[in-house]
Amino acid sequence: MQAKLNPQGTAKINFPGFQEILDFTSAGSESSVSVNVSGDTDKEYIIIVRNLDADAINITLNGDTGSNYGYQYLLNSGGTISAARGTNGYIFTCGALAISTCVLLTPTSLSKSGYQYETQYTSGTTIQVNKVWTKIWNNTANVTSITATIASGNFTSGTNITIYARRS
Amino acid sequence: MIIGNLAGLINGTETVIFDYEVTGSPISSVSTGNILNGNEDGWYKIIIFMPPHATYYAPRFRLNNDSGANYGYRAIHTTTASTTSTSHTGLNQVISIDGNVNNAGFSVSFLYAKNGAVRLLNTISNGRMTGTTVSNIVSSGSVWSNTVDNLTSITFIDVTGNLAVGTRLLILKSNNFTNGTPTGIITTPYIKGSWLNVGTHICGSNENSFTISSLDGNRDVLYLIDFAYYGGGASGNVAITINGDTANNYGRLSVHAASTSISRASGATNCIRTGYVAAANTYQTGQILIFAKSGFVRPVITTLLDTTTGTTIGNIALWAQSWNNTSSNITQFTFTDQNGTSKILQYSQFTIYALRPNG
Repeated sequence: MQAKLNPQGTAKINFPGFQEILDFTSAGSESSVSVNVSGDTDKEYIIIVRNLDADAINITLNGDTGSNYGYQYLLNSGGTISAARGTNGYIFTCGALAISTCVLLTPTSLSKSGYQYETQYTSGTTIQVNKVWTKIWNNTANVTSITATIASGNFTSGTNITIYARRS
Repeated sequence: MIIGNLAGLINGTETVIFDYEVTGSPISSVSTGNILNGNEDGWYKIIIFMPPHATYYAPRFRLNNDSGANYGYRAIHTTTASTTSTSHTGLNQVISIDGNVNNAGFSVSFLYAKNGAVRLLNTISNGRMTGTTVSNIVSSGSVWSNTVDNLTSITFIDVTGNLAVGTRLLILKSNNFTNGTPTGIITTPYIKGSWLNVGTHICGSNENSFTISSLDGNRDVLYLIDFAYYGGGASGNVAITINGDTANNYGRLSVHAASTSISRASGATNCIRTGYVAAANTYQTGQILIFAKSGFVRPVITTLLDTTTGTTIGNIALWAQSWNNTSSNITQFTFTDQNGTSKILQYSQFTIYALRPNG
């Protein structure tokens, strides 16, 4: 049997897969956007950022902006291949004029971790950066919020942040 | 109350909107037709499987069939010998797979499609597989410099001549979620063409092995396996085997970075790997994408971190693997602690999603 959805209605669909929980496009007057979640329930998020600004957009969990996030990346910047490890104050980032596609896993009672792919544009047909990050948040608490904040000023109008959660 | 399965576009989730398999004879190009609306849809995921062929081995695609010099590319390009930079400007197509004769290839591209700015793509590809020999893995970024036109179509080509028989082209999109007040709730176990959770395992205690079965790889076409586990030991990480195959039937090429050091590893192995370096009581996290349909070697792409404690990540690793079995339908995945001492610790989680483009 095929169920038909009344296209004029708005029904909540429950199914064991990814469901959109945030689709934010900036008007240019905002500096951050946040969504409340329950990581222990959802277990997984997909976060997509298209940044039209010259400043980076950083993603944090539970409002934590401390150096509680570890990273290891592999990078091609302008033709130079490099890698580095360290800590910073965000789980994911999207650099200037870039896109980032991020996967975050939030198992109960374990640290939260994931990875992202980032591509940063310069001008014309020139890609400046291709970068793969792995990240960890050294905290076993339930994730209750995901926040995107621009490093300086407001988002450039048209900047988009989309988040999907695994719902069942 | 379950009232049946749903098909068609469902707001707020990713769904297959284009699915094409080349049959009969090689074909010079495949167009989606004007089925896309980039400004409304926002983004697309483009998945390409390339079968081995003696002549055709370089699938590409064009946005709005733009064949002008309007595309750019930069990649982290890894072979068995080196990890190097590759870049191009003024291309007339998006590079998906850096293939080779008689090799299979597999790529996944994420395209942000709204106009008003250039269109950017992230792509990861496993470009050259034959048997258990895997010869490249490439992470790349691409640009289409057109900022004005709404994206309405994608045209697939092969710059060596034709798209070979067995080529599979898939496009997924997410319809915008309507934020109105719900007037009801529909619960369904399944949405055709959307990622379906076909198995989740969360360790209630320390475990040694478990199996997720009752799968149908030929129906599902693509599997996505997410893992986040704590444990491990000096003898290895969690090994994933297909249909109980524990022989050295899996090819691999991987690139890893630990701090500033970059290295590679290759050769046949006995599993799909979930880590590069093994150590006790550490975190391993990642995602595995498998093109599961039989008829050809099965390609695998993995992104992961391993041997992580506190805020210190041991390694980032990108893996290109192959399962050198062309005939068997995939029916199960087994997850096994390579230490054999129940080192998959409590709370570790593993999930398998299936795509089922045709329902």
